[in-house]
Amino acid sequence: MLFKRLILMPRLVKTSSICLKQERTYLAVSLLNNKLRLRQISFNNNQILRFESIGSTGPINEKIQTDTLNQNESNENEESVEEIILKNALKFVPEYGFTTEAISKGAMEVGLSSAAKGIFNNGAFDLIDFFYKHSNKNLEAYLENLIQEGKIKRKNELIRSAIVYRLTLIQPYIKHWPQAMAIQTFIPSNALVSIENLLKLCDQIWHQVGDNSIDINWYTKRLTLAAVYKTTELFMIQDKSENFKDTYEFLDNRLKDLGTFNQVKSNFSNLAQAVNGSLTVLRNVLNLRN
Amino acid sequence: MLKISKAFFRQQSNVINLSIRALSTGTNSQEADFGFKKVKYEEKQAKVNEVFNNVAEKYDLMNDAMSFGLHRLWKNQFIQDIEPTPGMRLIDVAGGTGDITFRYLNYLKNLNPGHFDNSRDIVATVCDINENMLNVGKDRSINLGFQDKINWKVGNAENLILEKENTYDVYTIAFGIRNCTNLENVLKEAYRVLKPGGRFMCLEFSRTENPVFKRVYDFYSFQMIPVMGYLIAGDWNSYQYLVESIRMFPSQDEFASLISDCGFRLVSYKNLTNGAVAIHSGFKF
Repeated sequence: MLFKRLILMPRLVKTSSICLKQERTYLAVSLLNNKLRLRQISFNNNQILRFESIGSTGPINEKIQTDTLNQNESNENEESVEEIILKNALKFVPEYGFTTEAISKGAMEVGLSSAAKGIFNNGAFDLIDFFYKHSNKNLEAYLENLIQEGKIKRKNELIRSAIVYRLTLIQPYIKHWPQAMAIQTFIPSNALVSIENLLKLCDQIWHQVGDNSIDINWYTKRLTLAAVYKTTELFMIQDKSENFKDTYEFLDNRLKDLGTFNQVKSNFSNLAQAVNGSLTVLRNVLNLRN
Repeated sequence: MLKISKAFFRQQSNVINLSIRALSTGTNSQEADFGFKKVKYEEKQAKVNEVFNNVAEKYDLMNDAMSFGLHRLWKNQFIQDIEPTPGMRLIDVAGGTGDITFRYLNYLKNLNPGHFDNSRDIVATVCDINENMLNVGKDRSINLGFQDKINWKVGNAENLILEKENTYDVYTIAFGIRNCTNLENVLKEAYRVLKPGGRFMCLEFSRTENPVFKRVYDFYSFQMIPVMGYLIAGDWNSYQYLVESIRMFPSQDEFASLISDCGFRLVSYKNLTNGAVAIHSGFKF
């Protein structure tokens, strides 16, 4: 990488907190809850409480007290600032598309300078990648609910509803999704990450639906699901029908294809057995067996 | 005028010196590097000022000659990394002849010509300690038609008295921070004037690790540049200082850790031309 990112420890941590850190593990749960709550507050009020407390010259915020909490915060700071900016940037995607402009608007929304978009070395792709992963997480929660409710039992139907839900997450941004798909594949390094994302999505769906295969099926299941999902997504970006009716029809057809594919596959394995059996018979007939 | 400004700077650095004495870190607060020589802390600024008074007129010509025009590429890359957007406010410290600022404004102009011409906002502040350099920049800005967009100010990077806190989106310092007496003060001031989320960007000569390139580069800078300085700008010593001060400047990693020590986050750097020049970047959160 040309741009070397230095993970430099914040000064707070450098000095004397190593011992403190060990103690802090005991407090983890309560601290975490506290932190989440604080984040929620700062996020909702569009304030930047969390950021202000970290700078050495910035005002010390009363709400975020206790040194230990502060240190924990500063350790985690980098990750969550990015997340907050990108989350807000998504609001501007319908207007600006998946661009660095949307990111800078998102940064301004939380009270940061628009120059904060410079955090993201890959620009628009970072936003898309974040959206993809974020949607995957949403899907995970959705599927978990669905499975817990227990209304839908059949795996096929679960998979169908998973794909449908995942597609509805894209629909608000459908106007700019072709652009996003292009960015995902245009640069080889982006494409690698995107493929990984897609496979993770399929893996996640199969995992949650309950897949116990440990043979070649493990791969074929994921790859076929990836094919179905990607083709449906491609269909959707040019779908003009009301409420994406055609897309869902297309999806159903593809899933049917998948059924046929599986049948053929099982037939094929039967065929292999038959061939093997007849060969054994032949060998017996010819008295070649030891 | 020169005398007045000298007296002013001396006063300035005295103030800083006093504050340092008060904090008394015990290290070489009394001496500063001036090239390979050591000078008294309060004298460095005046000496640097003298250097730039001597070279102001021929500064841009010399840049082209010494770097074979490469400095234009470095500066363009620098602007590209900033990615200017309309509405951002820039402070270009040590930006004397306005090279960075003009490129910044040009970028904005190309982005959206109509909007750029119609808006009356001041986009950039150029701050330099040396009035002679600023005058060169002002003249150029009139030729380019950017005079309404830029605010020119004389000021010391270590103490930006005229600037309020949390005002700027981007702070740039290109080939300037090397000449400042106390790097930490400069960085702290940068941190102060930036908005939360604002970006510190520094373009500066740095260390090259490539042994082959290093030999060529060292030969060129010590044997050729002072000669060129003498022939073109009529000044040997100023350019001797230039190459020496590059050697005295901290390496990429040292400077990056200094930046993060001053409160900046997500500090990163990028080498250009084998590390002869490096772009450092940091964010205020």
